[in-house]
Amino acid sequence: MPENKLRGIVFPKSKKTSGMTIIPMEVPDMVYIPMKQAPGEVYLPIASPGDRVKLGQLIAEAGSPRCAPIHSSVSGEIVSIDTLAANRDADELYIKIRTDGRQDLHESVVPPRIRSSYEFFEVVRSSGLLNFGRDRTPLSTVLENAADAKVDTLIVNGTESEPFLSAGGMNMLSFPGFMKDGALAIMEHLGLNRGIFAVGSDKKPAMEALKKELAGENRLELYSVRDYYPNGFDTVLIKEVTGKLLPPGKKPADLGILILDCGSVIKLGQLLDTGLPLVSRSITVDGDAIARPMNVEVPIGTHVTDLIAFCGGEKAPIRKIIIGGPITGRTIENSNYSVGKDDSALLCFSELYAKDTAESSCIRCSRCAAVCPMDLMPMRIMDAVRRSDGRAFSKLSAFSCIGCSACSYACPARIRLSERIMKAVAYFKNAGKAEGSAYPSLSSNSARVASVGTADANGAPSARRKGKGGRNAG
Amino acid sequence: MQDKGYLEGLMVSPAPHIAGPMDSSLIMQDVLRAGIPAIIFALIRFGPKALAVLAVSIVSCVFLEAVTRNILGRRQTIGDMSAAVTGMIIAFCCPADIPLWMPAVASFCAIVIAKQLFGGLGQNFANPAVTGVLMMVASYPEVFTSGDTPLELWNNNQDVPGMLDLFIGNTSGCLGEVSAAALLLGCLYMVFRRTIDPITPLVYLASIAASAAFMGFNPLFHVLAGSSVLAAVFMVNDYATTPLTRKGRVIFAVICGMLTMLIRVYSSYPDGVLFAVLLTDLLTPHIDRLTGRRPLFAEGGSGDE
Repeated sequence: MPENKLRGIVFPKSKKTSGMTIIPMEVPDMVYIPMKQAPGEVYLPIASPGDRVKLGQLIAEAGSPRCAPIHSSVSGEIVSIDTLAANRDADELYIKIRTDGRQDLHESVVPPRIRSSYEFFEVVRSSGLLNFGRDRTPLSTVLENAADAKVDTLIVNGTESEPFLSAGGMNMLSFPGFMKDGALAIMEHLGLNRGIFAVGSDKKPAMEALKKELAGENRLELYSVRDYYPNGFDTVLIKEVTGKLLPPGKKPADLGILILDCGSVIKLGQLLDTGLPLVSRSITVDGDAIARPMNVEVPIGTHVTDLIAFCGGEKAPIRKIIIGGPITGRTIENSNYSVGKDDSALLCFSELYAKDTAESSCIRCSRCAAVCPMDLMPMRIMDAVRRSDGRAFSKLSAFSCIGCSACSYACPARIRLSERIMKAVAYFKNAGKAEGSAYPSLSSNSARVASVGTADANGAPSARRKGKGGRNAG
Repeated sequence: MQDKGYLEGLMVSPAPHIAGPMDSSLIMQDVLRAGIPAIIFALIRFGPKALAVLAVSIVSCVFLEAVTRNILGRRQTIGDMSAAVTGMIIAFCCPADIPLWMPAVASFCAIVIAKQLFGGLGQNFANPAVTGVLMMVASYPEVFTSGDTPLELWNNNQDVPGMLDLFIGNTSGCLGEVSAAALLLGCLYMVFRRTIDPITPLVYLASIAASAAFMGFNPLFHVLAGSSVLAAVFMVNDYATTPLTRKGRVIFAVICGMLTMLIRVYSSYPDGVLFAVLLTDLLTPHIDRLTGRRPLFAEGGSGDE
């Protein structure tokens, strides 16, 4: 049993919007529903410009198991299906819908009648639900994979430990019933006998609400997870909740565990109640440049400028926009962006917080090691990366890095440890595959830290692989 | 959609998009603040001469850092305040009557030779301030001996000051070493700010006390006399030249304390602190190699290279 010492970052009072009820957003004049909501997805739009659509109507089918169908988040008229330069991919399609403000429900939106597990999976599949959080896989795919694996425990991830984010906690506070219904339905149809609501210990009100809801329900238990980042990462969450260790390269299912995001489970509970597919997301809008930070239920496809306007507009000129949490989210370079299914927050910062920090040299303060949830020594791993020393890299167990960025956050020299280590993990893994050994020791001239991302494309290892293929063909 | 894009040229960054509250400069500022009690005490005890020594060391350290970085064509780093810290520690190791060119030369040895020629902050294997002062101590030992410091009195079998005088600083000695009380005040500040791990100074002083007791001397005297407390607060905690793990730092502190007493008792120098720190600094890479931390999922044993 490993020592149960807290390794991570505790953010003091970092959620301005915590306790703010989720307010449904007024429907904007126009929505731009993104067709591509995660990398590698294929969507087949089934509506065309000029069509009138209603709320909840299917407008794009999933072209692969990696994506979920997309439904109209408004009632109105489709203006165009177009590619627009945006922050996701340049060839990304948007369905642009002019809203009529009536929000008429589509005829297909009726409370589902589920008589078998097959019907349950069908309902989940056609709802367009994703497993939110870092996963972003369609919920149906996650559940079907879990059904194939020997899963016996469901953990609902209600940690939400990144600063600013509070919509998840407010969702649990407002809809404990839906959370329970969603979790019980999943457990019933997957044949699970144990469900755990893992809620961050900072979310006292949500915990109280869930406790009341779960009274007399012995299949579900409530677990208070110590509030620190990165307690929501699979490996850390499983260790916190069950004490089990999830070895690198293994999936939670290998330990018989299914982890779902609390937001997804609540949406599932709502779906089972009303039949409404995924047409909106609860989003925390915050940051020092936002006039009125709040939690908003936003129709999918809402333009960020509309969302910012709904939250009182800019308080100070916006210089940086983060989609998602401030640690794991991503920045966008202009405001040509509309809310997708996988977005959990919109953070807008002024000049004050949009400073570029240059990396300086390591001062060997060990703060990176102190916060590493995997008990790694990031500063020594970086030495190995600099020397392109794959053997040292693997001896330091760098392959078990979960990429949580806690080290980068803590580093006083502002070294982008996590980013560089993750790149090196990908690089060394590739090199290892090519050389046929798990942990290659690379000569120092084969790669340098700056070229870690590109060396695998034209470096020696892949050339050798090609050579082998040629011999076989001949 | 472009028609709405009124926000252009936003700043993009890799995750994480926020950084922790501490940066290198703030850490060094904490160390400077921790020196304030000792500086105030030195000013009261030695008057304007102390101020002159401090000013010369700090100014020459910062100036030399700026010039060296410039000549080497590297990014300017005086903003990280580490040069000022080195200057302060050099001054702490100088007697008030020292000719003012000496701290300047010590600063040159510290900043240019010990620090920048090895790559700057964090890359140096020997504590710059200690190295710089030791060059002066070795070259001009008479400047650093006044004949009436507690350790010299003890070496000559004369009466030594009482423990309370030693603790408060009512003795003769270098600027920063006389008052254990002022130094410990600064130490408490750094512990409170989590700039340093309190285990290192504690183990270092305990190691001195234990070694003294083993040799049959008064442990408390050897903890309070000379530069023991100065080293405990400002030298054995130097990030760059001490081990990375707590286990390693404990080993470092034990060895350093024992060496301090050995040199103090058996060498011709009255105090062994600076030599001990420098020698133990050289062991740091080896201690680091032997005290790797065990990862949650160890693939290569103890994590050693």
